[in-house]
Amino acid sequence: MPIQAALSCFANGKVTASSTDPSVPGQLVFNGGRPTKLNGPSRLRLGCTIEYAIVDSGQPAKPWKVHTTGYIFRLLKSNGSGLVDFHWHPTATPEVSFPHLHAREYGCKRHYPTGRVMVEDVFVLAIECGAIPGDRAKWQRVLKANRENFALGATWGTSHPSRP
Amino acid sequence: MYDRACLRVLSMSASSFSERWDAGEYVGHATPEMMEVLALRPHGR
Repeated sequence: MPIQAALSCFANGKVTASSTDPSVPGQLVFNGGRPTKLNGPSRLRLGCTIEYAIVDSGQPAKPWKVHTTGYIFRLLKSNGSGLVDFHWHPTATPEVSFPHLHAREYGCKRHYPTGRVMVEDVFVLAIECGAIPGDRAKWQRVLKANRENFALGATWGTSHPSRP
Repeated sequence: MYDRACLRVLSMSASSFSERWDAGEYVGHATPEMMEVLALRPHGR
């Protein structure tokens, strides 16, 4: 699983998906949705929940596609206080349907608009804040592969230059 | 998971939060913490 590959570059833990049934929306979570310590002296923590639906892809060779319907990515300091949250939850809050961030470091709950964010983008930020991948070369390979994979399947929000 | 997150993050039971959310008590003033928990709510609960 691409997300498991990314997370395992920075932390120990398990990605679990709650549904494999197209009629039941699911959640993909890392370590039960609890913030997990990342490698590196800054001891940052990451919380990751992705909501998804399994939909008909329209392609006979690969009939099902996982469609992201929302996400919550949280980057926290070592003491558990928030650094920044990246959210997209259009169903729960139709009045805030766009992807956004909360600048938690400044105690701010405003919805600052963003583009679509991948968990890999949050790891890139985490590195700037002191997280260290266990194997940098592996992380670079995973980052490139996941971005390319995302660009192939995403229907919106693919702003990364790797998009064909 | 949802039950534990409600207690850990919101200090209230899952049933209490679900009931209030579904009743529209938080419309217009939902917090990031509520969104964090809500993302874990199982379908149909």
